[in-house]
Amino acid sequence: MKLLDVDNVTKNFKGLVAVKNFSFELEKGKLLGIIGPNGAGKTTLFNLITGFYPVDSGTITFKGEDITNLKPHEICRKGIARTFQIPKPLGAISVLDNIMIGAFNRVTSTSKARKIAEESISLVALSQYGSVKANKLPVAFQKTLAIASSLATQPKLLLLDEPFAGLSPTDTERTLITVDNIRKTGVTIILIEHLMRIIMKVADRIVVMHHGEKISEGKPEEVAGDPKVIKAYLGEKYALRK
Amino acid sequence: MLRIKMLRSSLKSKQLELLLMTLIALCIAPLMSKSTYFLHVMIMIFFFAFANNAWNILSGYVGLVSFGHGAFLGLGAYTSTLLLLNFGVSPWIGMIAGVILTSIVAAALFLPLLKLSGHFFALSTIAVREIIRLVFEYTPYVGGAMGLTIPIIASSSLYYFQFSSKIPYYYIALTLLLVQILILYKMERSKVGYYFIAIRENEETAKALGVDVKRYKIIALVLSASFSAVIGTFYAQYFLYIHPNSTMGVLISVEMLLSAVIGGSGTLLGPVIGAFVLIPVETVCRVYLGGMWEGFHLVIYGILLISVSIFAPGGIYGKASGLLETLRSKWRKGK
Ligand SMILES: Nc1ncnc2c1ncn2[C@@H]1O[C@H](COP(=O)(O)OP(=O)(O)OP(=O)(O)O)[C@@H](O)[C@H]1O
Ligand SMILES: [Mg+2]
Repeated sequence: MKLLDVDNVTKNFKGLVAVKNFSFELEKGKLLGIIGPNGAGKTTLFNLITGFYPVDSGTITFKGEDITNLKPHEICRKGIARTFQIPKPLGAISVLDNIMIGAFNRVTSTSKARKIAEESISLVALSQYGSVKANKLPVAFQKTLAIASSLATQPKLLLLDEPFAGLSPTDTERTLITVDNIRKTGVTIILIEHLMRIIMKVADRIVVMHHGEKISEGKPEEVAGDPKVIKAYLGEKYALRK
Repeated sequence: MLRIKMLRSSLKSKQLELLLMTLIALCIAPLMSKSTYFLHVMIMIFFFAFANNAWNILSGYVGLVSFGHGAFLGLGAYTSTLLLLNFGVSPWIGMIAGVILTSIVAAALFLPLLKLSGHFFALSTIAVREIIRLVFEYTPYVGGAMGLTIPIIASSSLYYFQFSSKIPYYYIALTLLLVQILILYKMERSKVGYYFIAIRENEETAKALGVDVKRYKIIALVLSASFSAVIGTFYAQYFLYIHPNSTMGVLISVEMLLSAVIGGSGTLLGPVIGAFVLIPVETVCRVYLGGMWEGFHLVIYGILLISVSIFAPGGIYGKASGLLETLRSKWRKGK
């Protein structure tokens, strides 16, 4: 079943085309990787899907429903959650309270929210930090916290913006397990990643973005061998040499 | 583990004990001391604790720092007073009317400001409050700069909210404060309270997690303004005299802000503690320095504010609970 359909979406920033006639589809239960060099427009694409920026043109359909230009909280209610490239935790409150904010997306009672939050926190293996203030957490764990909070909103689709960037090998391993655990719950995921190495491991399909456009799409091994991708990543010389 | 739990619950019950004892003390205090001066100071403490709490909803929890809350307090005071003077309406009903009117005005005039962030919001609240104050100052129908005097209608009447003794005022103010604290206690532990704090901590994250930021800012604004209006009516009935400067002026607005921040904004008891610490300071200034030094207490508040921001950024309450927490964990480790 088609869960998300991004159709011909364009976004300009005062003349700079950050996302250009961009289209892709996403099957339920899959993990889609989005890769592309710095400034390719990956984060902007997330901001368009989640209503943080209005699109200039194009439509975004989620579960058969047009969600183009809805407000961020409305998108969240529809079942799309996201994390930010640089984590922005609610610093002054505890880790569990952070996650509870997400949980209130579905429930009104505090005890129910706490229960959902406790499920999320154990899924990402952060339980032992539950009572720690979020701003006391190392950045790697703040990233995990962001995943837990967005998970607590009980999304059908989860957008993760570079969850692996800047992580130590141990934290990378930990986050890989987390992503895997989330997949097992049936949540569909779009994951932005810089490094081919990691995306090859986790993604079912990969979309490659460059200068706001889709330059390649397919299974990880197909994309990895695509000369256009190599060129975008390594420059003209390498593409020719190959 | 069990030990820790028991320890924790015994600490909890200690806190409860302390709270109950404070309550009982506050309830019987007027019976112990017949001094009207003492009663007056206590009433002012309750009054400001309530007002600070009102300010704290929008500015402490949601983080939209307001210098304009006098406007709401004054609107409450004027609404009930005008209804009483012109139509003989009981100030209690006037209080409700004040809440409604103030909510509407708050929504209409302050709503556009909610988009502004940080300093810009703070600055614009000064302007809007001043405009409202000027409107009252230049409108003869509402008493102009002279203000309004409420005549003595009855020596003691609950209906007319007038009493010759200070004791009923004491209990009314105390009851209002306790009811308010109870409501805020519930709020703090509910979805609304969590969302308020989420907005303060990071609007983008709040949005991403499903918080309708605009809606919850409006809720906070209306709640905050409503409580201010309630205590405005109390002010009018206690002093039986209101004018634009005393109820809507910059002094009262800043006083709410300062004592809440010094006590600990964004917490349940911080603004109350602020009132308990600062009102005695103010009263002492008034008594010993007299009218010549009007507003001198604000200088002391300012000094306190600076010390608090250096030594206890979370306010007195934040510092105290922080100390308590370290003591507690030390104790736990020692066991
Ligand atoms: N709010 C904005 N205003 C103006 N320009 C923007 C804005 N957001 C992004 N851009 C520009 O749009 C382009 C795409 O940025 P985007 O952040 O989407 O890239 P990205 O693929 O996420 O890059 P990175 O890998 O560095 O995170 C960049 O040139 C960026 O400068
Ligand atoms: Mg990015």
